[in-house]
Amino acid sequence: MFESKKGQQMIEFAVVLPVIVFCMGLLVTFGQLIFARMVVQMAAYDGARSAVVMQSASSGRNAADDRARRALGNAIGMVEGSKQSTFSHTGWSRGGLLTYSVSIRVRTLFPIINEDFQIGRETLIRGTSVTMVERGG
Amino acid sequence: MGKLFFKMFNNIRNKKGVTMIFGLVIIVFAVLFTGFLIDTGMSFYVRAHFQTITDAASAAGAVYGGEAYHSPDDGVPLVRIRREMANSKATQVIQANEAFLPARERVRIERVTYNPDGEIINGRRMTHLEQYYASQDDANPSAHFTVRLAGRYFTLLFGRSFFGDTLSVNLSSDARTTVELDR
Repeated sequence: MFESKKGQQMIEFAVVLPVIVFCMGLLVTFGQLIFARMVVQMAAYDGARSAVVMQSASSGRNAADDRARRALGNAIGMVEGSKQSTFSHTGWSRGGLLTYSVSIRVRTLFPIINEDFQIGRETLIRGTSVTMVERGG
Repeated sequence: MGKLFFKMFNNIRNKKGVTMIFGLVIIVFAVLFTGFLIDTGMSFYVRAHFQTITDAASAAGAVYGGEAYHSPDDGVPLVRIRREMANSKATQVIQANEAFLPARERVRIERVTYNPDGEIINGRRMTHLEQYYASQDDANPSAHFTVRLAGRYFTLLFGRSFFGDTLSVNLSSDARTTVELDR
């Protein structure tokens, strides 16, 4: 049917190229998300550890936020000013439990399905750590 | 051998569909490879999460159970970690953190060990109980609380959803907190 085979290789390449680019993009995006999650989790843990040695809950909160902010400096693609945190405890005395969460928005290389099940280039990443309060009360 | 293969391949005159077959094979490999990388990335992430849980549990147990006291024999100041208090507080911290593990349906904490037997600390092999108490012979009396967490990450691509509990990644993490006498 098709006697002339001119350009066949180019067409084949054009068909395969998007698949390869898609896979590469998926990998880069996924790597970016995993890295961001690790950084956010470590920020939550570092923040919580800094807080539990403080004498009061308010100074603990400040210490946690300060430490987490510094730890998040390594997050690639973090949307400026998107950091949020929650700080709750079962009682600020030795033995109480502190739950500290950090969340940021990350802009990915390729669009992904985000937390609201919509396609977009930004997604929410959250990390939480529970540690025991060591001082206070 | 190479010549024979070339001859055989050359004899296939009808090459229609060869590109499609190669394309399908490449796509299947690409999907499998992508899944493999996703699982590898996730297992690293879960492992890092395990480590933060272990660190928090170890510190909590040692601080909550740690106590300075005087030896009833000769009044020498010593330090110990009260076993029941340390273990229960560490368990509480692990359970509280477990709720925040990523991919909860594919991650399982299987075993938690406190002060495992045979740990070598400061060049000495210690039993489970020895680690909770400082020795009078030590220049710097110190007690130790080690938490060992063992679990599994069931892979996304080859995990239980396809072939049952066949392919999973074993995860483990250790953390030790030492309580020393404040002289």
